Amino acid sequence: MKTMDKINDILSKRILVLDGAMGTMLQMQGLGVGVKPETYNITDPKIVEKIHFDYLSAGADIIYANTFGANSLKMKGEDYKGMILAGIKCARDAVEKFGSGIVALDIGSLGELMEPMGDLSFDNAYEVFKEIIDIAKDKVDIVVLETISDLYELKAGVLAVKENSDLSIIVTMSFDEKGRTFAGCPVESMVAVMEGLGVNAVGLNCSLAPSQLRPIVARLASVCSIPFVLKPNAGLPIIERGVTRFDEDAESFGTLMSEYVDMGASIVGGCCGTTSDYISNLKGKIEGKRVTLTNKQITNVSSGTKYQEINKPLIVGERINPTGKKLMREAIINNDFGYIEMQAIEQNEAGAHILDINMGVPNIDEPIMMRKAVCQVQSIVDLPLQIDSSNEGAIEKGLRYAVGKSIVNSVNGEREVLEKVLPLVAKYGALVVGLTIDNHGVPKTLEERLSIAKRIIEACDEYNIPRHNIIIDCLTLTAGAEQEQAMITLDAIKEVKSRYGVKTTLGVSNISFGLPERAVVNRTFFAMALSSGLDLAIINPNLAPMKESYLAYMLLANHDKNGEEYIKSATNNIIEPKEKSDKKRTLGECIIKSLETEAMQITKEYLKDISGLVIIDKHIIPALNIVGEGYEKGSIFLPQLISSSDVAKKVCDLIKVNIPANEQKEKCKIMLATVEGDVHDIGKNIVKTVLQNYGYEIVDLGRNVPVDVVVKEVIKHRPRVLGLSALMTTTVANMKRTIEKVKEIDNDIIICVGGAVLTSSVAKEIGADHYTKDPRELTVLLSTLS
Amino acid sequence: MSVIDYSQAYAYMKVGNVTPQLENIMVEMERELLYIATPRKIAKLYEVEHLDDSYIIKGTDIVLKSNDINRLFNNVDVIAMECITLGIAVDKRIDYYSRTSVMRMIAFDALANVYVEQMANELSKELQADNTDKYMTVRYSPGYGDLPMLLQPQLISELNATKRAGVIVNTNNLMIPLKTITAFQGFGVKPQPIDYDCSNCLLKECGSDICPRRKS
Repeated sequence: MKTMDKINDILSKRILVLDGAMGTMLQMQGLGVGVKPETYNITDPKIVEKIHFDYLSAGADIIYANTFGANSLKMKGEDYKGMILAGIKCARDAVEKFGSGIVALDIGSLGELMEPMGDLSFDNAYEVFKEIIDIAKDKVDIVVLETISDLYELKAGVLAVKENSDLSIIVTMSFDEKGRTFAGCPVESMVAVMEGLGVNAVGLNCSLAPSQLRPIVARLASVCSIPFVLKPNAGLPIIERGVTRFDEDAESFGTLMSEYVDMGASIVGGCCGTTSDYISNLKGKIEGKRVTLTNKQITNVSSGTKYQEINKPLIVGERINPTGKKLMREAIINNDFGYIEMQAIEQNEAGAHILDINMGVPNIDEPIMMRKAVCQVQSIVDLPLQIDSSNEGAIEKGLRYAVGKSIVNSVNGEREVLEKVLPLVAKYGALVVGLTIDNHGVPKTLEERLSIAKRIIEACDEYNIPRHNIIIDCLTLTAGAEQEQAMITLDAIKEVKSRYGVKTTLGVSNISFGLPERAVVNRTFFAMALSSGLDLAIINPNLAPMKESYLAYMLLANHDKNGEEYIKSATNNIIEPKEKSDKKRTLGECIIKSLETEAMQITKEYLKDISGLVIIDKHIIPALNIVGEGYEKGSIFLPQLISSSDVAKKVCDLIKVNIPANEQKEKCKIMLATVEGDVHDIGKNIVKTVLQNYGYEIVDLGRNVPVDVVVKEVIKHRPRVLGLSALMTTTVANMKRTIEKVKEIDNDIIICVGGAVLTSSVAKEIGADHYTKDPRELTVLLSTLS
Repeated sequence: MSVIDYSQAYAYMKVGNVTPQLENIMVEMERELLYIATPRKIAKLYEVEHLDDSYIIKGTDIVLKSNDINRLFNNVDVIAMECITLGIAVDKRIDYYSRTSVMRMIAFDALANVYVEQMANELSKELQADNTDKYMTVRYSPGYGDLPMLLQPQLISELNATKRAGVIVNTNNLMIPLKTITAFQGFGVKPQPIDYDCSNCLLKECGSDICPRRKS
């Protein structure tokens, strides 16, 4: 019998029992200070084997091999492979002696932080997991991934197991009392993503005591359709003179866990502080109990930290798409991810719930661009994503590198398309948008559209894609050309929902193409579509009429309880206080006083008569100079300097949109980076903002930038000036190395350094050309350079 | 009423005069910070052996060989190892504001600095309350003065702070989340000095006028 069949057989009759802590038991056997538990697999295998045997004797069905921390990142230079093999052998020997038992390969967190906050890339994490799987896959019955905090890391682990073995998988993350991991992943996101990826059981371990679990167990029970696992600590830790003990005894531990079994937990065990006594007690308390699983059929999406059920109309932001958008198209061609990032931020702030990402520009490597765009967007906003492409390579990259549960936009009624895309949707557990179109075009009748929808849904059935993960797009046709089709689209929305029980989506604005006053037609059709039952509206949330219609609909449909969102938006807090004055202010005055709204209004008026370049030269730069001089003299302080810079930046962004690309003049190119090892970049970001406003072209490499990356980017961009920043003493050595390497390839480049640990003398010592103490000093220096 | 001491945050921000605009931003940022931060405090007390030039923390591999510690810890018999963090969501929000509003970035960052210090002070008070029979020293962190940063990974490992609070040390011994404090704090039967001195500090030229280590 295969392991999962064995497990399912047990679960159909009773609760499955896991073992308890390994570390605690080893400490009781004299595990020394600073000694890694896994080393015992080699030095004292009999002790490890005995612990496994005790757990089996206490009633555990699955024992975790003592391999939790054995990986190439945590154990650089150590024999982690030997420890994994020896650990599995200890567990196997115990099972052989006891007569039965399932051996799990236990894999814990890799111990490094994932990108973008840390250094560990998704691909590197995958490789580390894969190596462990390759070592152990023929020797264990099942894989456990546990105590992981970052959903991205867990996803890499699960894919590594599934793509390199046919082993079943149990995953558990560690949550705090609010039901979030340290990385911010909520319980529901874990379940949504892990169920989608096809793990066999999901749940929590460590960090919490059984007494704290009740609300989290309730949340797990409400969203989980597969067995869920609880493996908590033996109560809350109490530390006395450096020794940790836990406050729950075996009896009360078993009683509480038994209550959670009644709430739906079907796999239970213990983590830190638990021993074979706890497992034995637990086993006794749950005797005769079993759990019946129910399919929750929840339509949901998720990022790594934001979970969203699709149980009311939601907005899908459409701006990250080059179709009909010249600036986005240019940004994709030029790899300008800063622009893409800003579009994500603006839509996030305008209230989008999901972001559509489409990188479809001819003659670019769309899969690579999709991967980069997904990584970039999810590094800055936490919205779930919709991967929008007809290129299956791009869809695959999008689904793989998105942290959460995404939507694929789209398939249609063509068999060939369905066969290419649906396996990817199934593999990554995504939702899929099905367009009611096929190789004959968009059907003209309601029944024909429904027939294509049915074809798509049946194809999804073949790939085991559940109904709740299917979204049908009934397609908006242009009312100016095919007026009668508008109502057919709306009727199709109603019928698709009632006949097939799936969700619907629609790109709305195509309705008005070719008509005058498009905004009026768009928002009216939008309201009609919402009223017809539209679930996901693909719109530009920055357009006020659409957003207003949406909020008004949500109020009237009783989705927006007490009209909170509607009222908040209508009364829109304005932070900027209104200053009473009869005199009309100039743009310069507004920048100096940091009056953003007024500055933007004045700029729009100026742009009617004055060229953007003149506004920058005659109004913005002089105002920034006044602020800068005030800062230098001490009459203006850093917040005012930055506040003025923020306003100037917004004004400059507005102006740039109105200046043709060939007329935009920029001062010299400046590259900025916080050096390798240093993760503090507040100072660098302040400098960047100020310099941008002075018209310098900035290439920002970010923080913790390896020396070779700086060198590579210098060769690529050839900046006139390189600005390096460091906050910590320990990273000044890296700054020195960076300077040496850059000077080797470009001796003419001017290197300026700054940061809390730098002084003129240190700058000189490490080979920098200049030290500047603040952004103002840097702008003065730059103005003197030829 | 604010939870976080704005005056300290203004000092970090080098604010001379507080405009109504700035105050509004501070209120907005404080509300957001308190909502997204997940503060965690960990402390463990250890008996120590005091040699001529160092403290050996019993039951661990950690040895504090530091003139500063010797000067600031007067024959203590117990040392607490501490780790306080606001969580990774705070770092992410600072990153977000670095792209959308540098003003908010500065305000949020400064408030987070003050908040994590306040949490650390709270922890010190709790430790003192549990050890009323002893005098408590100042809190001293790896990287201050001559206390090496190399102690950082040892301290994090000993407190199991990666598992218990999500704190990770990178290859340069910097901690992530950024708004994290680690420290040693001693307890002894004799009164403890409270003075600070910049002369041995590696950052003595930093020019900071708000460094708590510069209060002498």
